[in-house]
Amino acid sequence: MADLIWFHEDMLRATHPVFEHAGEDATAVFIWDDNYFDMAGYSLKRRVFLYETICHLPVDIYRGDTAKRIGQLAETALAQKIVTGSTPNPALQQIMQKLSATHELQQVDDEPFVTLEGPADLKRFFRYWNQARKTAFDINGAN
Amino acid sequence: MTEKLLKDFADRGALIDYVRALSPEIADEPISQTEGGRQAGAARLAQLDAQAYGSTRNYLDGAVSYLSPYIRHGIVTLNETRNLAIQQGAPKQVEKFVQELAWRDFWQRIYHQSPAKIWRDIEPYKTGYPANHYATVLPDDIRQARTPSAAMNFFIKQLIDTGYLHNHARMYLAAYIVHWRHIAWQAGAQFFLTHLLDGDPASNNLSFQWVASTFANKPYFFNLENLQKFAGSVAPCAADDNADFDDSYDALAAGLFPHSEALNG
Ligand SMILES: Cc1cc2nc3c(=O)[nH]c(=O)nc-3n(C[C@H](O)[C@H](O)[C@H](O)COP(=O)(O)OP(=O)(O)OC[C@H]3O[C@@H](n4cnc5c(N)ncnc54)[C@H](O)[C@@H]3O)c2cc1C
Repeated sequence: MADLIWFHEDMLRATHPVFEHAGEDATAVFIWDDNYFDMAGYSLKRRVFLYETICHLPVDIYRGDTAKRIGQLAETALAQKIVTGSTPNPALQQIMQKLSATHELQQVDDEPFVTLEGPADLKRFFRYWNQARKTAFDINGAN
Repeated sequence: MTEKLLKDFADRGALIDYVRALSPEIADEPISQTEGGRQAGAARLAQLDAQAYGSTRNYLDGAVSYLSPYIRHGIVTLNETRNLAIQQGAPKQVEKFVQELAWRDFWQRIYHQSPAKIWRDIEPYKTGYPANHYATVLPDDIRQARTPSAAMNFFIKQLIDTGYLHNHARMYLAAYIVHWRHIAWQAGAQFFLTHLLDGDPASNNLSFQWVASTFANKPYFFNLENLQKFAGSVAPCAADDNADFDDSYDALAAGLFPHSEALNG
């Protein structure tokens, strides 16, 4: 009943907080999804950079369609839940949606850069910067 | 269940051969010297000089961090990078660097807010041209680094061979593609995303939109004097080989944006 940690390309760090949200006996995997890379138009050098990065992580690498493989691995391991990093990437979000139809799926945010008092003003950078600068020079972006 | 892919290799060459074999259709493409992995990212972090950054960052040979591929994929965080930077000087002395980190955070927040919009114009172009004026396909001479500009060809080759371009070089090349060649920013953005090791839909596409003016109040463009000042020590910037840019800003604006009253005021 160990949790399954699904690593994707936006969270390739062994200290990602995803580990804090999964059981100690969780297994972590990355799916090498050729179709995903083709859709994103990744050149060979980008794929090598990613592969080299993943080799240094405590994950097993499988090849295939991400949603399908993660689903299968979760079933084989009788995983209670799938834990992964949150991301704005629509292709990954779609996969998460698919998986959450059949499995419990938890998305974990990475550590924040700043702490804002109210909603972010994203109309232009300098409006945002005026909010962000209040904590941008503090350790862990929090004062 | 399918077999696990390999993780242990005798050396980097063996790893590269393995990835080539996984990607037979693009196996003959160039590989970057930039190494993946946390160790390589941490080594970059150790070389950070956030103070020198402030005064030299606009120059192609300035003290920039080269952290972008690591930050892009979460190998190194913005948080830890900032935490290190603020130990290197008073807020004023490291402000420029921390502000550049905030640009990434800003773009990511926009991406989070509306992920599906990342390929659409956020606002109309302010160039005097409607969006449908711009060609949607990137011409071969740009893909193959055979444009009339030696500096642009240098940047294109660097992009393809290393997967990295200095921020100013990205601005020059993006402006060249959109404003001199009248190509829609999306076509340039996809080309960059294919090759940049740090290629990120938010940072890349929204920066392209900033250059194009679909996410800014005016288009970004440059002239030869500017190119020579910031890129001259690195790229071939002789006037004879870069004639398209050899003029005053006013004269260039009149040629590039003839229908824009705002830019030819
Ligand atoms: C047309 C164009 C396309 C771009 N595409 C990308 C991209 O795909 N991915 C990407 O990460 N950056 C992109 N940038 C932003 C910027 O050029 C790069 O982040 C920077 O050049 C990377 O080099 P560095 O790590 O040495 O940066 P440094 O100048 O040392 O900055 C440190 C870090 O701050 C962040 N950063 C700095 N400047 C910016 C910026 N303007 N916007 C967003 N983040 C920034 C990056 O994470 C960078 O690693 C683009 C800029 C332009 C003009």
